[in-house]
Amino acid sequence: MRLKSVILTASAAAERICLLAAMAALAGMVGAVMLQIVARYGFSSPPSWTEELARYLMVWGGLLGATVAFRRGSDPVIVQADAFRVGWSRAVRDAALAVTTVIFLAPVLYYCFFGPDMAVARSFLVRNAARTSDGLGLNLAVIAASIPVTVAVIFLHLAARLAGASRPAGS
Amino acid sequence: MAWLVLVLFILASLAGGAAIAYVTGAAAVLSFILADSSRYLAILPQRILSQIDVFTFLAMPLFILAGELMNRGGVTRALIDLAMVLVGRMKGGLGHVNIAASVFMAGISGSAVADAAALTATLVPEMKARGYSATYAAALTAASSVIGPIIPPSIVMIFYGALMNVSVAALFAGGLLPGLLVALGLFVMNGILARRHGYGTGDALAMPPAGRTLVRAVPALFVPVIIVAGIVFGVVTPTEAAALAVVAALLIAFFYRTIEARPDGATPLTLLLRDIRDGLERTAVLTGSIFMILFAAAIFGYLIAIRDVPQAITDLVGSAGIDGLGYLLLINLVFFVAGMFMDVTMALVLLVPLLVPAAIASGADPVHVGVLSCLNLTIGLITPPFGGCLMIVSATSGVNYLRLSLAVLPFIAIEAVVLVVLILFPDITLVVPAALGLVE
Amino acid sequence: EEIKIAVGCPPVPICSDWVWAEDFAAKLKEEGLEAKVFTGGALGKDPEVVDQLAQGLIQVGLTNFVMIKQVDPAVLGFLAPYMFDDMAHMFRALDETDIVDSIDANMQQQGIKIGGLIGLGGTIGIFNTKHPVTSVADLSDLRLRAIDSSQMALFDEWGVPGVVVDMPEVATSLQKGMIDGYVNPPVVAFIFKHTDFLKYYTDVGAGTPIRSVLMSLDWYDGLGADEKQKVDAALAYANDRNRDWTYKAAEQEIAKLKELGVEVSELSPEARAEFRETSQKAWAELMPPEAVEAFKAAAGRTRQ
Ligand code: NA
Ligand code: NA
Repeated sequence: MRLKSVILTASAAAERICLLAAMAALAGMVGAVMLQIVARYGFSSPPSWTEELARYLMVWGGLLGATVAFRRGSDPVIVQADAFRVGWSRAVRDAALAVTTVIFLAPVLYYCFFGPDMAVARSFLVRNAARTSDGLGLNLAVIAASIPVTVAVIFLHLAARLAGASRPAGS
Repeated sequence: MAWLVLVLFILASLAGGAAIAYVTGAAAVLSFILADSSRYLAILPQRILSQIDVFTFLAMPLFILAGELMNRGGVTRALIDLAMVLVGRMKGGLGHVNIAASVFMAGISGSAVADAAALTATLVPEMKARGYSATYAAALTAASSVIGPIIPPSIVMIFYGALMNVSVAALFAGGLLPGLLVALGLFVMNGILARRHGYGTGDALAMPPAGRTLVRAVPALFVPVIIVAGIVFGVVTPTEAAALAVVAALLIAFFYRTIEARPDGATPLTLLLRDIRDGLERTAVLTGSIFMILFAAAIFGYLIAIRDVPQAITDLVGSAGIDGLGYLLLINLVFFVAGMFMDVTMALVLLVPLLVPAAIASGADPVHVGVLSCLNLTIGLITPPFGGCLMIVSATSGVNYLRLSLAVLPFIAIEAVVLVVLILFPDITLVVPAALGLVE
Repeated sequence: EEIKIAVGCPPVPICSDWVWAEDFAAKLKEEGLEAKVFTGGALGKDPEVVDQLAQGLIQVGLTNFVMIKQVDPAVLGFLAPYMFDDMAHMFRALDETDIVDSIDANMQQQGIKIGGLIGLGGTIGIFNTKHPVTSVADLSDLRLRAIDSSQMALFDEWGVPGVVVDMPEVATSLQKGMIDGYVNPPVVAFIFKHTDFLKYYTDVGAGTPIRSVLMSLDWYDGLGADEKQKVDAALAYANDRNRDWTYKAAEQEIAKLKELGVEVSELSPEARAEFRETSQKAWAELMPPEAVEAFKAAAGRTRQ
């Protein structure tokens, strides 16, 4: 019972945080592209990093948006949510959701942390940590981290749904 | 047997209400396992990241945001009102406006996906409010988004020109008439269908006052002018134009909020901030849905590539031993079928270099084949079961994917007819580039 | 298992990567090994290719030097403007010094072995849509497309504004006047058909463009002695053939530019000296000081 309420609370909080961060990233993206335009006409040479900053903000913003879309059940479907009103059909829907989500994203999460021969040192995240971005000189792990964070949050939302969080009505 | 189980799994998951992106992604992962290629799943995180970390994509969320802000701020309403005054009395008038808007957007953007997202966010709710079924409005918007990459500028054509060593300028010029011909075909189909369903009959109550509508539309008309002028005069890239569109939409929304009646206690600024908050929220969620679709497609694409499926297709086609017009029709059939299942860029990169050289060797004009290939693969964006634009329009409009897939069929049919006409009469494609001295 | 070779470009003879891959695959097959070339970026973009190599999913891939630069910026020494006198000088430094070894060691930390740095055509020059360029001053009214921040540093020294524009947008940007040109080898203009708009070319002799041949370290280290020998032989064969191919491509490309209606300008010795002096100031921006010194030393040792 206690675990269930922790999961439900965490899922609701994650939705709010991810949404705010995604909105901020999108706003920042507009700002970065606008800066690029202004700088091009204001200075002789605009900064070379605005393009990269906008791109990375899009990656993070879009991925966090994907977690919100998952929680709200607003990703496109063939059969709409309102078709699942009776109890057993909801169980079917939860099962379909759980199975597809886990099969799709579990390998993604696994390979974020493990490389060949289960070596952590050669995982996706660690490999990216050795690379530096061209414009901002950012450690690319900062960008790569968006993938495991997104998958982890989606799994949290999935757990909350299975634990009985209010089912989204769909879009 | 195992593959049959996979198909059943896909159908059962879809029927169980799971999201298309997640079903596709899960099916792709299972396919790796069935194809004895599971160790290749190790590429997934990087593949997913590379798929979205693309500069060209920036225009997509920006155009969605601009569309959302225009929707909320009343800009779209002003333009739709204007369109109503101009063509609203015709049967299917707003449908015609939708197509015309796509032609106009086509001159701005090079990507059908960005056009589809922006126009769906703005036009589908408007058409729905004016009595069209949401499904029809969404299908028409998806169908007309095909015009985007055919009328220049065009990202697909730049890609094609680069891939096949064909003059990009000539491809651009070659796309002009075919793009307009697609629009003409859609006008005709919309006229027929709107008449049948009784859509878009302008009644006295719905018709806005002409004078006031014209005045209100003036600032709204500035948005496309900013975008078009910005790109045409080389002031900004499409991505930058999209950001400018966001800023312009904000300014104009503020203007409308200032001049129009407001709820008690609301200032123009508080209303604008609410518009911004709601617009950002919806854009974030929509972009997220689109990203998941891209992921799932990318995983399948990798399996297709690593299993060397395109080569097998080519060998099959090659063994048939046809040439000339027959071969051109055949590769267009292959592209059409490929477009049903594959991403445009992927199909272009995998199939065009393998199939097109033989067509050119048998006498076809490179620019003609180029425009045909780009149009054909772009139509793939609206052909089920896997239509990129269909998925995005479904996500943006909330219209059920299956219903949308059925509603778009008449429009696919008319676009296929246009495609065949273009195959049979190369001059339609080549007259403009020839007049500009870009082809012999 | 077959050796998978990832190539980003389509199977066209103008593309050095594809030519190299075909030579390499042909030699491997001759030696009795199975090999397959995946063209047109079928196996993904450069970061994906590197990722597959690092995990041993594919065996060989050809990428932009940026993939190495992200791990070790010292590789920019090969591309630093006027570091080497000409193409032959750069190749001598590559063959006769150990300058690439420390870079390779850093890549091996990532599970990747450098199989070679190969040529893709003649020297890097300045293309533009407006007028002939025969001096640094001629650049003053141009706006050039920059690939990244390191090229931006070079443009700063030349006093020319740079704009970072993504490759798919370059053609439109050139046509619409958003940018007036770029600094690239002619082969780039050929592949992307930019010669439709870029009507002026100046061979400034700033450096020789290179591509990188990368291999999966897991795979390479796991080869038996006999197989390793065959792979090494195929590498040497393809790298050798690439040298011949590169010299020939470089010879032909000026004529090809003229054929396509591009006006080709030469630099006077004074103008070339001016380009050299201004460009060398950008070296410090490209790589760490010890790398600059190492490359200067390698260039000095192999200068003829
Ligand atoms: Na267009
Ligand atoms: Na399709």
